[in-house]
Amino acid sequence: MEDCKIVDMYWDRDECAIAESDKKYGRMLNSLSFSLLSSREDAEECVNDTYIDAWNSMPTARPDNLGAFLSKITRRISIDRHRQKHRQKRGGVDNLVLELTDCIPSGESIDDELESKRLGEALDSFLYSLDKEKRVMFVRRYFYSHSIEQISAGMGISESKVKTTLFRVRKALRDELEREGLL
Amino acid sequence: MSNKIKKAELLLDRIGEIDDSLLSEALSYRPQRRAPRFALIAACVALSVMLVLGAVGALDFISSDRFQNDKSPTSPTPTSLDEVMSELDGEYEKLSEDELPYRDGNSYLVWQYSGESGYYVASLQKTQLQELMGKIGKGDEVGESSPELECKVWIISGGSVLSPYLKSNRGNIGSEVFEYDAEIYPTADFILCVSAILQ
Repeated sequence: MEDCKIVDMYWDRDECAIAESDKKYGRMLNSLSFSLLSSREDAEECVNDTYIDAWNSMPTARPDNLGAFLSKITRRISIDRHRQKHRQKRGGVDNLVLELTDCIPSGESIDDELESKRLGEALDSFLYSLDKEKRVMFVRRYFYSHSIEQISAGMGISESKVKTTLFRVRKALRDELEREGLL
Repeated sequence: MSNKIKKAELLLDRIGEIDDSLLSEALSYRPQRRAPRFALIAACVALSVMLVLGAVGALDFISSDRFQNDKSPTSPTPTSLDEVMSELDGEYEKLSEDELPYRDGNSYLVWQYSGESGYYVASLQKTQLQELMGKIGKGDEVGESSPELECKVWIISGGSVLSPYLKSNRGNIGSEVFEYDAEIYPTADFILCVSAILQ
């Protein structure tokens, strides 16, 4: 079923919207959540929470791309759950955070919401400035939390090239954020 | 928690808000397949041999009695799948990608016209499938630059998906249709077979 029809079902408060969302995107959302949490049970709960969140968001939200909309919710819920449950343990999210410290110059923290918004804009702008292969690699790693092996297999390039490219992209992002006075 | 870790977590959160189009692009990305060098050389040699044999055959035919005597008109033979598909009159069922019957136990010929979002589907009988499968993956390589296709074609059977424009030995199996650049041309036999099935 097409996204717009499923979104219409959410707007009409038709509970079949959740079943249709699960049919179309359930596997992808489970995979995304599992890669962050390493627990089937937690991943399933996060995906269920995703549908509840989507149900509560529509209306008023009317996403053009339902897959991306649900992915963002699943990712946020999964990361929150990880933070709640595994503060003391090292896992998938911690590894991503550790890698991303490469992008962080030394300096004062910024908590200001405006700065946070600027960070989002700078991030989009930086990603669009990359060539497609690097951009896809970055998004697969840091949004979808794919492993280096998965990225290598999915993109038909060696693991060492994936690691090297991601390292360079992180450095370039750090330079960009420094130039913009962010982070 | 160190300040650096805290900021990295903030960055991780912001990555969760990037443009939807970047997410779609990352999931739909397929690597460009490049023909290996030895395969290109082999294709060039094969093409040269075919040209020589074709020239010899043409000379024989021109000098033969058949050429001198047989002047009757013949029906035009399609030379590409684009040509075959462009002549269809829309009598086939059109489905969305989610509705494609990957695993219902039957076999189908599936095609999509450039610029259209849906897929046309024609059911294949077992003998038709066997005939097509015997002719797939045997065409000449396209070389460095892939041709623009007016219509992309797949065969769906038993959870596998194959395209006559792709070599069957690498990445041409998997239960989803996907965008591709042609690696090989379908053979004339394959094109005729599809034409016969659809018309």
